[in-house]
Amino acid sequence: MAHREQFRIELTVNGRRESGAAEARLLLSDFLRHTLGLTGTHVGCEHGVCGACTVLVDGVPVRSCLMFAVQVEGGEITTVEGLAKGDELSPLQEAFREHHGLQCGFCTPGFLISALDFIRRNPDPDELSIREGLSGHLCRCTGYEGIVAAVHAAAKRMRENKPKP
Amino acid sequence: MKPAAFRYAAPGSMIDALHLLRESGEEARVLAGGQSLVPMMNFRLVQPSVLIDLNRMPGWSFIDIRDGALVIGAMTRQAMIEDSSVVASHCALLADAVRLVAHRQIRTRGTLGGSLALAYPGAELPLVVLTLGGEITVASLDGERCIPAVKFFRGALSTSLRPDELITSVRLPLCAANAGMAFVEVSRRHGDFASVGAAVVLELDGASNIRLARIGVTGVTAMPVCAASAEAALLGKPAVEESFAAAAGIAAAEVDVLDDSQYPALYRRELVAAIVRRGLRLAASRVGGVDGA
Repeated sequence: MAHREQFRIELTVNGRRESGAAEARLLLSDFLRHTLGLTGTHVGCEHGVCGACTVLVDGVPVRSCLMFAVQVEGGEITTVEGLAKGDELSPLQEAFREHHGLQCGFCTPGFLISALDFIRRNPDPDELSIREGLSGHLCRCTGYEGIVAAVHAAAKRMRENKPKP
Repeated sequence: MKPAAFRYAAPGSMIDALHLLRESGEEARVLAGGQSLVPMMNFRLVQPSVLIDLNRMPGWSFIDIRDGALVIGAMTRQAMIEDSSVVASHCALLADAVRLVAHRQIRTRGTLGGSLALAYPGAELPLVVLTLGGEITVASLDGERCIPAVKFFRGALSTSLRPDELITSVRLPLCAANAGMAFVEVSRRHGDFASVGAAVVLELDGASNIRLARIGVTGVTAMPVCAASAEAALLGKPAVEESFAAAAGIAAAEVDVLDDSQYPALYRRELVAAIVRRGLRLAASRVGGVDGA
């Protein structure tokens, strides 16, 4: 007998209260995309290796394809849709654009989320640490050079933008 | 690529979880980090009819020093271990090894307990726990027991955990403050399980001879193993390249080695020799002054 019990999930996404119904087996990635209509989070492999589905859950990057929506009841999620302020791209997004950090854009949302977390923890990273820090993401288009350059440039800009104490 | 339906429960306490586990029997699976289980569910390789989510039980995520040991709760996220200054200062081996577990985005959810319960061949954390002579505390409704690591890991994906038991914490005895430690791994890509991995701990006496050596190896056979003959061969020897080369050769010869389609046994033995040697060299270079000076 399949268990089709619907759970009511209430959470905060990109600073807004959201809610939806879900079976227990609904993946967070599918909840974001189909229940909440936030299709910026992409699904590439559904087994945790490609990184395209990465979002922030309670401030840390996770594979949304490896969590069930019911698990984030009461939580705070940041998706790629939450990075820009209206029409103003975040420094990281600007840097990806300037340094050709994307071609088809499929992997990009995951990279942006992980890069944001990475820069927060490593404000002045060198190339090797960027490559290692983002090794959980696959890109079929760019060969990663533009992505590494973008993250390096974004980290620099974000250091410069930080208000001096 | 979507999981089959299941009944979901998120118990608020260990006791509730243990009751659920016993009631549900073979139909249940336990969800800790989910970084190995959920992919299997997404592929429908496993289709539990009951999923017991352990992530709503407070109190099982902690990193403490108690009575000369590092004690870590089973639900402690690998990322928390990675970021811990207590781990960095008291157990460099664990600090180094945890950074090699998959990727950051996996470690933010993956747990220590989950990694040990899965016992995947080539996994880093089981090797560390074995090499340090760790003890795994497990609980059921009948009580608690402490299982030494060497008895816990039985084979590939096989432990001595009973179906109605949950890991609650792991106890890692601390080494001498000036011990040198190294974790060395060969893998096809950054973040993969180790094709072959070695964990090494060295302590030296006043004359710079080896007074304690621990060498653990993973990826060679179904579970992590200690290279006991190599360890014994190092006692009393000077901490120099010759000693390391000899011990590495003994380690490579003494371990049982899988001969599979990925790597022939001969190659695995060569990898063991190379990384044990590298690990001994690295550990020796990190030994502090005698008596912590």
